[in-house]
Amino acid sequence: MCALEITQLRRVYRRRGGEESEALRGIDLEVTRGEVHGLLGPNGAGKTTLCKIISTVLLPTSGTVRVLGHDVVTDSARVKESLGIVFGGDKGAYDRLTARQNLAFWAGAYGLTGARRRRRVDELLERVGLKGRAEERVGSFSRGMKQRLHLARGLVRDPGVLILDEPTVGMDPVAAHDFRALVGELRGNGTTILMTTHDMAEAAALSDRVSLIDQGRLVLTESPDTVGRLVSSYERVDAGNVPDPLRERLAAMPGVVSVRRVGRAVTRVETDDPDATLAVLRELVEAGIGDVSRSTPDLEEVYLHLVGRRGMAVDG
Amino acid sequence: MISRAATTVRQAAVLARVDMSVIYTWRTWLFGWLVRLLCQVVFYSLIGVLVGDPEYTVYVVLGAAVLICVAETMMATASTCWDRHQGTLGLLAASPIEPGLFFFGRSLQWPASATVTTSIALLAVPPFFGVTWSPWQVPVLVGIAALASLSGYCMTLVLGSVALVFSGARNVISTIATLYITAFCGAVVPLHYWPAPIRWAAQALPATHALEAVRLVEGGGSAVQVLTALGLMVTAGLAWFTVAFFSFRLVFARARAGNRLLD
Ligand SMILES: Nc1ncnc2c1ncn2[C@@H]1O[C@H](COP(=O)(O)OP(=O)(O)OP(=O)(O)O)[C@@H](O)[C@H]1O
Ligand SMILES: [Mg+2]
Repeated sequence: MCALEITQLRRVYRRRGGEESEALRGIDLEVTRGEVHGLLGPNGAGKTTLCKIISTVLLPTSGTVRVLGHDVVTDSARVKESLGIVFGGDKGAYDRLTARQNLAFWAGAYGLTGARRRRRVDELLERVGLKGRAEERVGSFSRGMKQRLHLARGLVRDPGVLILDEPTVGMDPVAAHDFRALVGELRGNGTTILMTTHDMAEAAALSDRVSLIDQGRLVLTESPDTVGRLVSSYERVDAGNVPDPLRERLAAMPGVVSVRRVGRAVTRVETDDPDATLAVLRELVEAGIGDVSRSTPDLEEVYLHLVGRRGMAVDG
Repeated sequence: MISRAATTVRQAAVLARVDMSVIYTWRTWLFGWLVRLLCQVVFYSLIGVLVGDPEYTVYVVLGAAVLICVAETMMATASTCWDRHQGTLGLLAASPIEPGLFFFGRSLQWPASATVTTSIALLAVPPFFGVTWSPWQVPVLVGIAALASLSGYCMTLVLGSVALVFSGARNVISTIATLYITAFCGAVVPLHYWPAPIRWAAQALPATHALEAVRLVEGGGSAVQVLTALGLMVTAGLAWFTVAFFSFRLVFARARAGNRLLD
């Protein structure tokens, strides 16, 4: 059975003044039980909106979402019971309460009481490495420590499905490493995880499959390996002092994705197949250009290819 | 069901307790807060003295003492909004928590504190203005203070649910509400002074019945009369609680459909 079943999901936000913006435009996604699914996408792509709809914080405008078979609209009570959520950022904890009190509060909210609750809270504090700071007020915590607390909070109920919205924001490398270990452990226990991130490497390392979301649409859903292959099929050639007529010729060659200037004298040619790369190299050498190097782009650049080169521009 | 509700309230009350301990130490509570409230009672009472009517002075002293519990429970309007600033509303919305029960527990520090401050105001200030309490009246007055605080608190929760949506207006809401209650509950202006519709509306205010009960105790009313007033007060409190319960549900449901409340 599917842990998450999302069909034709749309969500429209109504801004002040009646203006509408469509944050999700027909998302279809299935996540099987025990899968760790990475959700990647630029700012404003709709990741948080999707997470909020799954966790019953927002209603879909149309389409359906089922969590372990329960509809988020008609059966939200069941969904709430089987879901753990971690929203990134340093808000969302009671600053005046200690870490232990925070966790005890949420454990209570999810129906744990008495000795069971105490045990669970101890266990979680240990697990996220906050045991030594358990009696300190959360207000004095660093961002990374709050993030650990959020993570523990998401696990109070030993959820069947865990939604993590940018869970490693603000964590130091050690904490991020521990976090990965924890995700691995949870996967071992059969927890289904949907995790959003901006970090391609993190997504690739942790996920069974990755989805790319852009402007409210799923651009692709693949295993990290396939994405990796996609990455290796992109190649690039950097060359110095390429005259304009040659640049134009290169741009017209089959398999060449883009030709653009990076830096003052360097031209970067990107191709999506190795044969094209060879042809480009031959052309450059024949034109007498000696300053040539070849490399493969990293995950990030492929990601940019897929979502288009909008750079830092965020759509409205 | 009931135990889950009790757990929710108890859990939320931990927030209330911790908030209280951050806002006040017992010293600042005693020498700051309590003294400030007692001054308020004395100030009103002096108006009665200035008017030169001993009967009216007693009337105002008792009224001002009961108004303390109105003022203090009114703080719940603001504290209901605290979750908004903490960014926890979304998490609450995603959890199985019943929002009305959560918010009932969340600001319980105010009716708890109001019970003590109102009792002290009722017991300590009026004797300076010609009222004498006999020993058996002491527990009765404390009981009235407790019930009045709790009932008034339930009414404030409704205002809190509104303030949650219009959180910029939370202080305006509580100020206006305090003004209306002060004017119409019979604390400083006798009820019969007002036209009938206002007198009727005033019956919905727990403070109106609390005052009635206190005045009956002071003026030698029968036990039945006092209990009737208290019964009406508790009924009003329960009715407000019911309204608050559904109002919070509505606020959360509306937030889920649209606005930025649960960000
Ligand atoms: N409450 C809201 N009201 C109106 N528009 C909103 C609201 N929340 C989000 N949006 C819009 O919906 C779109 C998707 O936002 P969302 O927060 O889901 O993106 P995201 O992928 O999580 O981005 P980020 O990586 O920055 O966290 C954006 O264009 C955003 O401006
Ligand atoms: Mg986001």
